[in-house]
Amino acid sequence: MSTPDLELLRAKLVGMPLPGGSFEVPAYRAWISHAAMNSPPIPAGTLHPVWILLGSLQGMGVPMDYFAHLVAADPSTAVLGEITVEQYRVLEDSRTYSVVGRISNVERRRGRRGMLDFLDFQLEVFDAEQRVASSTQTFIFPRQDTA
Amino acid sequence: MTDLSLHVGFELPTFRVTVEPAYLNVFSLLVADPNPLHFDAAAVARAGLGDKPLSQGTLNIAYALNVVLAVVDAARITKFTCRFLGRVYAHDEVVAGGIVTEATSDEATIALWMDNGDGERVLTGTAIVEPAPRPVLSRTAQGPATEAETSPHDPLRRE
Repeated sequence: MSTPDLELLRAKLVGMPLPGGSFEVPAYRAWISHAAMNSPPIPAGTLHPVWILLGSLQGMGVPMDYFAHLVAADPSTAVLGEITVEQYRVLEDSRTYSVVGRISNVERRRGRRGMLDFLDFQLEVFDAEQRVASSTQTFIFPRQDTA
Repeated sequence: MTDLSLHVGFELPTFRVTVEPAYLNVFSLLVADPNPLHFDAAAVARAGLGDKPLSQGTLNIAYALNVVLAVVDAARITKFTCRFLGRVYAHDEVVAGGIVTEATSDEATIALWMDNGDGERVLTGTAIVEPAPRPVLSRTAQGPATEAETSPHDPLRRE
């Protein structure tokens, strides 16, 4: 898979809005997820904070491999590089949240393992009244060449 | 839940877990993640990444946050960051911990870390938490508040 020109990628992608959508975590799903995470006891009705990421990824309106296709990379080689999450109000189960998002940056760097592309995207989570959380996530795509 | 005075230098109790493949399977289903690297060892081998399924990044974040959730309520976490440095595989025994690096009257900053089964550091991060809410000792003239009144939620028990 050839590597696209960085400036073309940036011009096409930076600022691009994501379709967005919504998510809701039923109580049983929260329970099972907390067990799978080996979470300490969490107050009833409250979601583990990692659900800010899980929920917003599900509600952003595109599948996880969408970003790989945008940058013409192999989805199976993409890895999550880093995340920053702000929680303004704790998320609750059985409640509907809406998600809006956009691609905020694309960069290319040379690392120990060769050329890497970094794609940042921001997601915001709202309840019926206000913004309750936001996140910035970075996916890393290894490149085979440096075109 | 133990509520602690989060002073600089305080080391939070470590969190240890063996990453069971069943957890990874459940997590893939929960988040509708079709990436076979998280449940199909053959796919991991074909990708040249080893011979066991890889833990999801978000599950690794959850493990690191469990360190914080063991001592403060989820609602008190205002911000967290994580940076991924390495891989976690099924059957790894991961260890995560944290130490308070800054503390003011408004918030405390906790530096987080997690090591995989080979003792390699696979994640670093931070969590910022608000101070503990002041307990409500007496809200009416009818006597002191009960324990249930001072606790905003009932703990969810998984037993």
